[in-house]
Amino acid sequence: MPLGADTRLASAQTALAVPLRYAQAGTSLAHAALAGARQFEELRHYPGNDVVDVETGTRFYYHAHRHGVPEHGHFHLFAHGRAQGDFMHLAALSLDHHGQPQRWFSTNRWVTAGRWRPAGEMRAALQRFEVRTHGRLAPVASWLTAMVRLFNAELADLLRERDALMAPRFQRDGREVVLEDRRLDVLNECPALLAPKIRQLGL
Amino acid sequence: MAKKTASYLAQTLSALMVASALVAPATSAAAAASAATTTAATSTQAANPCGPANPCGPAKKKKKKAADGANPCAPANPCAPKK
Repeated sequence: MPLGADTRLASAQTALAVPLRYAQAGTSLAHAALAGARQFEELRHYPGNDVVDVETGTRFYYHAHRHGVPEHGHFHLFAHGRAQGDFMHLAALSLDHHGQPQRWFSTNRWVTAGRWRPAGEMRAALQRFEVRTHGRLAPVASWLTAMVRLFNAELADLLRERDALMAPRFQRDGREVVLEDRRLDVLNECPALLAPKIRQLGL
Repeated sequence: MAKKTASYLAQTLSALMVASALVAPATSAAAAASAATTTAATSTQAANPCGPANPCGPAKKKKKKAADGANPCAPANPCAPKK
């Protein structure tokens, strides 16, 4: 069931208000995502042990890698299953150097590990995605929750497209081989720009 | 009501675009810390900076693979949720 209009509106408000508050204070989500760290080191997780919401079974962290990619860094979003160590990567969200969201992308299984689930099974996790935390990353967590809700349809499409791209490869080379293929990291992407999304809401 | 919300969102979006353009761009990530500044804890992480930090269950297997940089974007500590 698609998210309701009220949820989309509330999400749009949060998706704009959180970065605006940072900007008015002279900072941005790109700074905030570093959780107060003085240095931003390639591949290191920010915060170090990720933000984990045990109540909703979600997790995120921010990091950067791949020099040459026009982004400051990206968040990885996860949902946990009931069993210990059972998790799946939902999507990643990249920010530019001003902290503005740029794109959503999916990754191959070897990149994040976890269980590979078809898009249809991930849809419910996307729809109920919510991550909360205390302290300095609380606004970032609220913002990510709002972004996932606001872009829920796009994320569902992204994962469906990912599956469609992978299906012939699975058939040709075998599922396990493809999921561990180091040549395949980012599988597909879609825009995460706020301005067109807000206009698209058609208010 | 919808009109009021639309107006609020439009104003917030404009304010955000202007305000964020005025904020200094964040510094890009630097290469992993050099040996001189790396602590014992971070050097383990540098070997597999995105692998799970607390191996348990499936994460244990991943840590093994981590030696060859197996899961560079895996969550840290997948089995030990932090409050």
